[in-house]
Amino acid sequence: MNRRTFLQQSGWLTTGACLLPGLFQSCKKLEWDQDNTFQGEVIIVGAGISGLYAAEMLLKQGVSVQILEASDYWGGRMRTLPNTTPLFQQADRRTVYGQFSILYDLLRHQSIEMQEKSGSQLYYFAGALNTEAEANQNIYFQEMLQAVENLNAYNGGDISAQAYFDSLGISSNVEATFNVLAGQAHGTSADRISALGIGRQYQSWSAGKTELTLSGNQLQAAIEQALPNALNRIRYNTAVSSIDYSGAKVSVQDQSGGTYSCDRILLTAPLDVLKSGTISFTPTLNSAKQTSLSRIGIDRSYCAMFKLQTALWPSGTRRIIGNNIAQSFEVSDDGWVYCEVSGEQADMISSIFGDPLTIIQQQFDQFIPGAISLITDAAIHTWQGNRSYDPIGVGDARQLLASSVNQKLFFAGEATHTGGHHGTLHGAMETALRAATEILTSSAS
Amino acid sequence: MKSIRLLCATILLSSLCAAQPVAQLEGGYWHFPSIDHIFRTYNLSHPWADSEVAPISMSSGFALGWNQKVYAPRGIHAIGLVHYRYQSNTLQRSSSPIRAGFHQVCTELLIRTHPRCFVKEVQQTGPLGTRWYIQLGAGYSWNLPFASKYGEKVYVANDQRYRAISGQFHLSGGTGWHAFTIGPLAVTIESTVSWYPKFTLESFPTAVLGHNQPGLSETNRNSFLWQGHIRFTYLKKSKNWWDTPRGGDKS
Ligand SMILES: Cc1cc2nc3c(=O)[nH]c(=O)nc-3n(C[C@H](O)[C@H](O)[C@H](O)COP(=O)(O)OP(=O)(O)OC[C@H]3O[C@@H](n4cnc5c(N)ncnc54)[C@H](O)[C@@H]3O)c2cc1C
Repeated sequence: MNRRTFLQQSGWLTTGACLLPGLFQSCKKLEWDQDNTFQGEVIIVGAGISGLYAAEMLLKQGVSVQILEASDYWGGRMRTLPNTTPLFQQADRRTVYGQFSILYDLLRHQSIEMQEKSGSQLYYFAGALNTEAEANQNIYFQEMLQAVENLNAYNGGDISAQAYFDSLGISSNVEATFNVLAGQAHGTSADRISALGIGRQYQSWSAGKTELTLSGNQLQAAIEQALPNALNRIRYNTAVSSIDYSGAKVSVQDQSGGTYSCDRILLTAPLDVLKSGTISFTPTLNSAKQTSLSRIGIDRSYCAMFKLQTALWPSGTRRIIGNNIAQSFEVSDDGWVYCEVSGEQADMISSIFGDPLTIIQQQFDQFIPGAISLITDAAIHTWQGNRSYDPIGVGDARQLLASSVNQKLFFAGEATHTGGHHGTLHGAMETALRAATEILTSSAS
Repeated sequence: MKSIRLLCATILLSSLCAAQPVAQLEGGYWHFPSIDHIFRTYNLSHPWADSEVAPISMSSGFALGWNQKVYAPRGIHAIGLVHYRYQSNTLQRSSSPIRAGFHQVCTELLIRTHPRCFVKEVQQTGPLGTRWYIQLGAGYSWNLPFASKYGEKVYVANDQRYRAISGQFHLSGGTGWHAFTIGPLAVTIESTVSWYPKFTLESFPTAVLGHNQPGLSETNRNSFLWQGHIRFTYLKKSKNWWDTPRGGDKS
């Protein structure tokens, strides 16, 4: 073979090799096959992040969507203190848990700036406020931190986090701090959450461990940018009261008597609403579904925010971990304080005669004397259901809650997450993705 | 026992010494519905994105091995190969927020002959046998998937860097043609199809989609890899019949 033939043959070979995969590539279907996916009408109950996100995905696939929302705002629990002034929304810090999630992708796509959580913490125990360095000198404190750490690997009997703590015989001086780190962090208290549940959640967590923060305003702006079509489909002040899925079509009624009809319905109302029975179903939900509702936990919580004229804590302080009533205060250098009380402690506050906001502020004044006299702005919101958690005996309740009924009734929302991301914004979005794919493929089955 | 092992090793070594060393460049196209479904779901889950993320389609790699004449009258040759293949969705579209794919190391044994050799013996001599041939093979591959988002390596459950090796059996079939020789190197063009029953990459849905909600990944499905190869065989001593002057292509 001469040089010329060699070059000629190699040229043909290379061109062929380059073109062939491209030809095959064009055969790959990246879109959902519109001919084989559901194309009817869907009603979504709730304009929280899961409802909005599901709506945007379905709309993009050509599905007709209407969102019925009980309140007069969108976002649900995404807004820590709904109906407050933009000043509060700006000061409100939301956490993005991990950078391997759809929420992170959404924020990143909108070029939202997020800061990694940083700053020191102050701990109130044994009657005094301790810096981290001081607290770390305390043997009980060290043991308590180790106990919290060990809960993440817990794989033993189904006992509460509190029972686990008690079994270790650690001084009760640091019990309130344990309650914040093991209970309140999950929207409840240590006596209600299962140690096994904490362990399982930690072990199946796949979003990464980095914690980033952004303001409530930034989060809302990003959602407005990313999910514009869904926001246009909301019907506000429409609390769904009954769902009849016995016929070919699903018929829905709201509390003012309005009726709606659709082919599929996606329920994203929070767990406390589903538990309360304010939405009736015809035919009634099967017993497995009903027991699943009772097996997943969700507690009332108080979210209070107030602004002090000046910060009375060392600059760079992020959090003050309090006592057994008002547990945890997120603070900023410009004098903002955010307090969330949940679980047993929230029930305690509600049973005390008096305004919860004042009680929380008085508690704060105990750790930071003089704080109360410097408050300029304040607001409080009571969440009847904060975020779901795993109590003792939760078992497969989340899987049961997440399963669809008769290919007509679908469930999403943070409480239906089965992979450890419940109680988070990104977890709620992931359940919406699961439900959207279930709806899109529902005609095939 | 020791002497049997020694005997086997001697036979293997001596046959390898008689064999022709082979190096091969590979380019291919994957058809794996279960992996495509993960990328389709990724695109569904990013309705705000300006463009879609490409799935994994293309594969490129190389292989090293040997070619051994087994039974000349029937043109039967055995080829042992160790392949390395790289596949990534960024081979199709370089700008992507997510880069995902897998490395594959594969061992394969191929038997090749000419269809005519099933019915009658052939006379063609030389180290490579018939000029045109068909081949069948079987092999086992190890897949090491990877994923990164926005340039950061993905971590999955329990804060582990995503690194999950899984094994896979496959069968392959193909055809080839010894095109020409350059000095002692015979250049062969080959096309093959490999069948991977129930192809799976462990935890790949979690790594790409960022979570582990069930129902988002389709169950493992049959997958196929079409490949084009350019093979270089080093001919140690004798020439091929088709490479001699006026040998012509008779097969
Ligand atoms: C105080 C607080 C702070 C939090 N902080 C964070 C954080 O920093 N980071 C994080 O990742 N997660 C956080 N979470 C959790 C996160 O906010 C939730 O997991 C997520 O917002 C839940 O979204 P969802 O769509 O499942 O439910 P929701 O947001 O509750 O949406 C449900 C919607 O349904 C509506 N609805 C209820 N009943 C009816 C009805 N009958 N008819 C029609 N509509 C109805 C509700 O009004 C609501 O809008 C926090 C939660 C709380 C409560």
